[in-house]
Amino acid sequence: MALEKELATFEKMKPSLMTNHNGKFALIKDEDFIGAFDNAENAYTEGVNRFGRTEFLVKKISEKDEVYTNKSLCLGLVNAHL
Amino acid sequence: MPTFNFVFWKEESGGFLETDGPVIDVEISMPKQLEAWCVKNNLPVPAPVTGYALIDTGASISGIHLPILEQLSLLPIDFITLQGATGIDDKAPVYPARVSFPGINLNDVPMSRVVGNQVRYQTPSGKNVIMLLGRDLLKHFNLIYNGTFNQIILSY
Repeated sequence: MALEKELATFEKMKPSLMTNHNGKFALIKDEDFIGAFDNAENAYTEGVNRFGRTEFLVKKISEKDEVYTNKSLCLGLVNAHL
Repeated sequence: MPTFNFVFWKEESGGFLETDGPVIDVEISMPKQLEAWCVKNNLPVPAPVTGYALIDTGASISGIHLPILEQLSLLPIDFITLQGATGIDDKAPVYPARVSFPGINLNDVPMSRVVGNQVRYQTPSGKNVIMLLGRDLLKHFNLIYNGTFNQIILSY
């Protein structure tokens, strides 16, 4: 899976990130934590400036994982052929 | 506050709002930062993709048809939990994108986090929907759904 290394690094660092940067967005490349940013846009800009069009992780530092809910997709209404 | 009226009615077909849902035209392109990087490195910049966005108050985050994000040479920047109807959680890739809505004169909106998903479908009147416009963007809008007059009113 894409970003496997970065996601593992995030999980490993999560306790210390929670202590020091709760609510911010982490920028991680491979096993390196580049920094914490006030918003995802700034983290992405820094990622592109440093690494160009390669894989890097921009993830919200939060106790609860971000969840995507979409009732239309869940219920199959969007792609339903009625 | 700019206000825009969309009337979903034609004499020959009657009201589209009920059958098609509230859709507005959309143009999806590469984020500005990445576009600038590509130009600087003499790499081609993919052409924007146009279609329609369905206003979806049931979606927590906006979603874009995954093959379009790949066509724009974008790479995922995160994976988040996708809550399904079966109760089994799955992972959905998150991408950055730039979105314009020509119909409401709203251009180059940076969306740092959209979900890549299989959302493409054609409405009964033939509109090609490529995006679900979720509450992450709708929080900036005032939306009135006037079913009686086949009309939606958007203001921001």
